[in-house]
Amino acid sequence: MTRHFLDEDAQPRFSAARIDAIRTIGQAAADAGAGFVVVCGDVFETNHIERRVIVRALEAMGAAGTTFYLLPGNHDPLDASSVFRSATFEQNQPGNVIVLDRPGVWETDHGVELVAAPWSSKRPLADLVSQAAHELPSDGTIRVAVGHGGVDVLSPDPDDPALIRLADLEASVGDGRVHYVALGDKHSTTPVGATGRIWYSGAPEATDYRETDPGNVLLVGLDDAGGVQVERRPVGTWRFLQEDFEFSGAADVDRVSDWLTGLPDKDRTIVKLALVGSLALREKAQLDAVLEHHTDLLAALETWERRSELVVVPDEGDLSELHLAGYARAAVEELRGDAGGSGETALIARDALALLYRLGGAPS
Amino acid sequence: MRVHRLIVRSFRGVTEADLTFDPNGVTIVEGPNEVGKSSVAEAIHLILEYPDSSRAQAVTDVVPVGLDQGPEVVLEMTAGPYRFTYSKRWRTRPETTLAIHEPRPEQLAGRDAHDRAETVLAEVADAPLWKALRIEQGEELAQASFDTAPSLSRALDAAVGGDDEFAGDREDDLWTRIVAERERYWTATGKRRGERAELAANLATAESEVAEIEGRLQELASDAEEVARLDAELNDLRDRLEGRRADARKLEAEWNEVSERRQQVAILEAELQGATSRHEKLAAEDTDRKAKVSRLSEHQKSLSELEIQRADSQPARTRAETLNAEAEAALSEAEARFESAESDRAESIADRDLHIDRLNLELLTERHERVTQAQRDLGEAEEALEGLEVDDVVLASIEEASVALKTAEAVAAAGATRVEVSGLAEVRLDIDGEPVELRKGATEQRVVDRNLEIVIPAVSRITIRPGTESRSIADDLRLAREHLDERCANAGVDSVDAARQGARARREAYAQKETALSTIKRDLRDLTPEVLADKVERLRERVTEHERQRNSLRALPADLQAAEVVVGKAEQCLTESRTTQKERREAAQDAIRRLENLRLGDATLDARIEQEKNTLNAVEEDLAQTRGARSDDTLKRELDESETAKTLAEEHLRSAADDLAAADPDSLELRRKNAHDVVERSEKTIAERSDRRRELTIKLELVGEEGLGHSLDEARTRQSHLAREHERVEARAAAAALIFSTFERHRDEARKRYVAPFRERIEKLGRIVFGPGLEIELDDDLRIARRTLGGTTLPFDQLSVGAREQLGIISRLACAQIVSSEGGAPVIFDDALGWSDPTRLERMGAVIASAQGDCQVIILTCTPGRYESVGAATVITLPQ
Repeated sequence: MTRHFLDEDAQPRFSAARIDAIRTIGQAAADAGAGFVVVCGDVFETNHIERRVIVRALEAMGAAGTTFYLLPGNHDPLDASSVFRSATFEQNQPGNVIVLDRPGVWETDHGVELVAAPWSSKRPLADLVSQAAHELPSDGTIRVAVGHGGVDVLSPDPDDPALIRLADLEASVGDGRVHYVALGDKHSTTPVGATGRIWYSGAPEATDYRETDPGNVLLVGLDDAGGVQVERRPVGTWRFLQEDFEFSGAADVDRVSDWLTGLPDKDRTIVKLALVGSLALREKAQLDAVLEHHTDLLAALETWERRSELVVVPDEGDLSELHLAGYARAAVEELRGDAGGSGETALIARDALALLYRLGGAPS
Repeated sequence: MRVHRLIVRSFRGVTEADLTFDPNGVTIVEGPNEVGKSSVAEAIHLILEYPDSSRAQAVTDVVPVGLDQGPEVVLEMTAGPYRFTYSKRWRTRPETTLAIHEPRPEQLAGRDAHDRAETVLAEVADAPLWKALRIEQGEELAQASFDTAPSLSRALDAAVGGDDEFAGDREDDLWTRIVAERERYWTATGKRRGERAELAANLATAESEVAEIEGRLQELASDAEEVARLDAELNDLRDRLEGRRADARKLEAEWNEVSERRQQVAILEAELQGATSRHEKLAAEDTDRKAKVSRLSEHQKSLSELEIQRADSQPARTRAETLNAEAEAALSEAEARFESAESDRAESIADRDLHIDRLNLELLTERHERVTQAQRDLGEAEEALEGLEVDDVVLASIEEASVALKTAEAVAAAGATRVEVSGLAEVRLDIDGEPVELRKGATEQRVVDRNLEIVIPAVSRITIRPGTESRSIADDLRLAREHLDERCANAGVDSVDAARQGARARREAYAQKETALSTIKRDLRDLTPEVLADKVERLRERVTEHERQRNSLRALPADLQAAEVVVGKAEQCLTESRTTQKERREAAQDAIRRLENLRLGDATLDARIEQEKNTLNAVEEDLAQTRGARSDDTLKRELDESETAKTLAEEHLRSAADDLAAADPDSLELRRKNAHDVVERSEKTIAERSDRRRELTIKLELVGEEGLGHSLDEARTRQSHLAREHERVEARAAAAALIFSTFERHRDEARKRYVAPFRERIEKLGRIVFGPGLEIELDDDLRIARRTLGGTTLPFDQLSVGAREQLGIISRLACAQIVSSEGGAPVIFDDALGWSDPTRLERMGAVIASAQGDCQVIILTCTPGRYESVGAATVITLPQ
């Protein structure tokens, strides 16, 4: 997984963390004595993943020992270009890795049946989970439904035919035909409905700022009596943080500095700052120094000074540092006037003042 | 900056001069050139520029000649807040001292003094302005440029704004950096620099890379979807294919059944064909047999008819043969008679011809003899003419000479001296050297026409000398005689008589010749004598031959006339016998023709009879042979049988064909074929879809290995980095452009603010000289660009030299006046205004005088009168 804001140092570590997460999961499963691991779709980011990622992931799963059931999802559907059917995958597939490549019931070694709903294309025209769970008998067999995609109650697009209908799921759970529904798609760990048996486990390693609770796996225990225990276990080591700061003076620069300084695990933390407010040239120079320092420390630090509402306006102090007189002073005053406005002109005028500040030889 | 006092010592030609200047007014320094009024300006320049140790040429130039004394300058001046006395001596005992009096007293010497002075001057004075305000003698009257003089800017700025902060070096330095910053991103003409364009291009490339990979991924996605679609379609196609195959098989079975029927029909058709063919063959044979029988009887009849015809023709032929023999005998007799008549006629003609030849021979012989005689006569006459040369003309001339001689003799006889020698005895004399035998009694006469010498040998010499007249007569006589002798000699005669005789003989011979020629011509006519002779000879031979060959039994007719009668008779006899012969020949020909016709008719009949017999034999033989193979009865029976068989076969065929038609084989054929095609097409479609599916699968497999997702991430990263860089650079470029344009505008505006008061001051001073209508226009460098006077505007360069000089001084004064409150520099003129007329000069005086109280003006001149009109001025006269 590549992120454009990562530099050539952070990117390999970021990628390696995804493989490390598999090992962590394997370890967690072994520790908990889990019968198997199900991965509910989007095992890979795309069907066109580079070879290295496939072989490393398979190697890590193979090393874990526990059986891994992999479900094709919307990112890696079981279509003609499916990664699961690629030569690389097939040649390197360890014995404990099983692809749920047909819908319906799969027997496991533990008397538990899996009800798989793999994606065979990027745009299915039906609720695959309901289809797979259709007409299951309520015969006391413990069943785990493995599905992928949005659930109707959480989706903003009710017309999507592929949406998983929560009512159907809850009915199956209620009838005792299915005892747990493991869902994939959302990157944040999320319970669905009121049964306590329907969960999105979320991505084991964070991938974006938008995620609210990524980096977990769920340890699910089912007993013969029909009881269920779901335990959230963090396995991820990376964080995406987005923080807004408002500026009105030099103290705010210190606030940003303090906040950044306080961050743990900086080399695995990716930060995006939205900066709002106005700063004098001198303060802006200080802020730039702080940001530069933390750019070196953090895995990535994105700032949006131009497109955020951070207005850099030289104040009297800045101007007096320049010691300008005559026409030069008048020109600076005009630029200041422009910078106080809004729109593109104001942006350019602010840049112009900052540049002038540098050209004037003022300390930066 | 003000110059208060200047002392020079040992400076070029000046031993010592001490000059005190009016610090706020006009000081005129008068002095001749040699004294060095220009040295005043030079001295100020040297002391400010060169340290006392300087070896510069400028210093060397002012070292006094022949004196062991270094040039020395003492300058007392004010500059900004400073007032100081600065003195320097170069070369000999060099020395520098600086005494600052204000604002804080300082005293320095040597290098320190020089350095301190430079610092002070750099701090307050304005070197470019100092230079600009000087007009040195002989210098070109260029306008001063005040653009680079911050003092002026500052002063003008102060005059306008009253602000105490002015743009100076710091601002200029910043401006330079702003220009440099802008140039990093923009060309001089405001175009983007190549680096920015390149960055934009790289960004575009990265963007298109992303788009390309996205496109490929899109394509892969659609390929994957197509595979899914193809799978569904293939399943469907395969299901339907089974049903279509069953349909095709059913139709095939029906088709096989119909094929059998069709085969049956074909067999029956063949059978019918066989029966028909046999029947037709027998029918043909029957027809043939009948025809043969009929032919046989025809030929038999025809033969008997011919044989009858042949027997009937015999009597007519016998008759014709008899007639023919008779006609031939009669013809033979007539031919014999004709031949005899012909012979008679030929002989009679020969006799007649003999008579004619005899007559001709006679005539020709006579002609030939006449010609021979005439030729002989001609020969004689020509021979005679050969010897006779005296013709009538020659004779006449001889006669004439003879008459002349006679006349001369008569004259001589009458008048000339004559000597007559008479022989008394026979004596031999020598007269005129000519021996003369003088017989006795003979007389020898001589006309004495010249000295005549008569020598009697051994006796005497008698010389007779004629008188004059006698000599002339004698000459005439002698000449006449010689004349006659000469003509006779020419004519080949010895006397006049001989000449006359010759002439006569000649006339006769000529007449004979003419006669002979006439005879020859008449008798020869167109012949030559030889031809004529030949003719005679040949004719004679012919006559002889005729006579020898002639049949001597026949009597020769008496003459030609009788011979002609005999010929006539023979001719008539011949004509008659010829007619008879012709008639009999025709009769004989008729007879033979008739006979031949009869013979030919018989031969034809014989041939036809023979042919007919042969044909008859062949027909008989053929018929017999046919009958041998199949008798007439057998033929009849077989013919009937074959007809019955044919009818039966026709019935069988019709029935089978009806059965076949009932099965509608055409429709069945089409349906069967169509069913087959449908199956084929379905199979083909399935094959195509399968191929396409395989193709896509392989492609997806191959591309899947490429890790396109990763490439896309990389490309997006690249694009994102470039986009950020591009945005940053563009923002910086925009900022640089904005700073530049804003500063440039304010700078120009500031400059415009300075320009107005400066222009007003120049115009104010200028109107004193040029009148109230003067207007001027300044360019960006604060130089006068145009002058308007009396409504006429001229560029500065086109003004008169005087006007340019005056305006140059006025602009400097204006500048100095404006700048004076802030410092400025003295205006120094070294003998300027040389180009101005007295009126202008006077007005310029007023202009210069107006500087009084405002600024310092120093005028150096060697023509004191030029500046008389400067009212308020301190005048210093340099010592001689």
